[in-house]
Amino acid sequence: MSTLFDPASIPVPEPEGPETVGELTLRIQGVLEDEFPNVWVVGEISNFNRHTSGHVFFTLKDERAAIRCVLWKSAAARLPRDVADGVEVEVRGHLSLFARQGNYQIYVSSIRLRGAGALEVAFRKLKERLEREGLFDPARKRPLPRFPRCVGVVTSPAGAAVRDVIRILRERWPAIQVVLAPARVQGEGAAADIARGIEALSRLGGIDVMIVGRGGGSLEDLWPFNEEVVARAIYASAVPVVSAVGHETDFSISDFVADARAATPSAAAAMVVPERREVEAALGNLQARLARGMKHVADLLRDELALVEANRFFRYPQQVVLDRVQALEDLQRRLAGAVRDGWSARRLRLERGAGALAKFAPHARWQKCAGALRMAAFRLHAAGRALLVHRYAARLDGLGGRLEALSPDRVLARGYSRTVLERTGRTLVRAADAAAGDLLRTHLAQGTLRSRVTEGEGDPLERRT
Amino acid sequence: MAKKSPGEQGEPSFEQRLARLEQIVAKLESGDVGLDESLRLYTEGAGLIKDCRKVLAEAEKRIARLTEDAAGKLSTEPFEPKEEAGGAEEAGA
Repeated sequence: MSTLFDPASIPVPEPEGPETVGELTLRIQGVLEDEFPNVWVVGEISNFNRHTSGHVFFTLKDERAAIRCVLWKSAAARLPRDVADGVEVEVRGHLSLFARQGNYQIYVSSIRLRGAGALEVAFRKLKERLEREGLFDPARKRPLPRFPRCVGVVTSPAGAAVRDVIRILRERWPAIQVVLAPARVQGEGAAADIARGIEALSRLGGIDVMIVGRGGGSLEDLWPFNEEVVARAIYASAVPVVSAVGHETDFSISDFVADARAATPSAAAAMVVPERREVEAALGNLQARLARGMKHVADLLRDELALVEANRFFRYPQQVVLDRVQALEDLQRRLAGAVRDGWSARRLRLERGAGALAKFAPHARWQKCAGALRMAAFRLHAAGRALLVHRYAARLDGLGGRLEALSPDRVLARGYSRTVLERTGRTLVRAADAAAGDLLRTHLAQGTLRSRVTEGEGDPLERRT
Repeated sequence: MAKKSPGEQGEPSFEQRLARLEQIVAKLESGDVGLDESLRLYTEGAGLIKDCRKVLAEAEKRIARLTEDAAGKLSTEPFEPKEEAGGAEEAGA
């Protein structure tokens, strides 16, 4: 690849000899002044510095570059008061060079605030003032109602914003009521309109939350929402306010004062009402928990009832009595047997003793002894009997106490009752087992009721599904 | 609609109903209630769910426009936002 154009080949005049810094600088200055006698530049002010001498120094910059600027005392006197760091301005003047520092700079003849710059200044000043006054205090921001019945909207009745807001409100929460306070949202008188709308909705009553805003636009279009009357009206509102001025990035004064801020009116609509489907899901969940909770309680009670029902009193009422009779008879038999056995053993021994004695004693003495022995035997018999009776009686008492603890009377005394279907003679557990006209017998703690079924009712929710 | 103030007072709000429902469910779930009490709670809870569902299904679409006369007296009149020409979505009057 051959080079057609070689910069090094262009002849550049050779300096005839070295020059001083001052000489060179003077030459540069001449070039600058000749080339830029009249500049008109747009930029943002930074490093703004009003020197004690009265001269003003600042840097004009944009995203890519920066230029030093000087405003002589005479021109500085005519400087707009709002000129400060961050303000966008148009500067006119000429370019020259500050020889001592080798800086080129604009010698400014006039400065004009750009439109946005002027609004920006007004915005910042109002914001600072209202902030000092406490209008933006986070502590006074009210929570939005979770389920508002009525939403107020302050916006233009003709714009897309009101349509979007109403559509989204209805979609999410069909039961919503909306009251629109129509207001001009840009141009002359708009701020007063908006403030009046806020005040009217606040005064109307019955409004749970209000949306104040408009769709997107230029900074000038959105300006009414940066005005003090609107801020004051929001601050005074008895109803929580959502500020919704259509701009994603910047904030308006109304955003700072309002209880909540949304980037767009649509976002505000979504913010103030819940999503019906979500609430439906939550309700379904609550319904399931309600049914489960009820079943849980019923299960607990049913278990308790089953325990009682499992008791033989309910299963075989006669058998329980028979068992008791039988137990008693058994005890009597064992008592009698024990007494008899004890007595016969003793009689045997006595007879043996008597036989042995007879071999040694004369008859009369034997007779006497025999009489005494018979007496002793009788007393022995009586004593043994008393002892046994006492022991078995104590066991009987114990059994009686344990039976008592299982008695259904105790359960009934707590307010439960047992209902028996006359037709089947069985304890009634499910309403479905009884038909209209059936006779019921209800056992209460005290007494029994007889009643007739008029109608049955199942679980009201189960019935729905 | 024009005369009636929206959001009537008196009957409990949706929020209050939901809060009561949550309370009832928690109580039943604890199992610490007698038969009579639990039946009463269950019936009340079922009623609240029904009420809440009714609110969700409601679609009265009450959209009003606020007007103020010279004396500063406020009133409302039905309002339906105008669709833009060629607007696809239905307003549903």
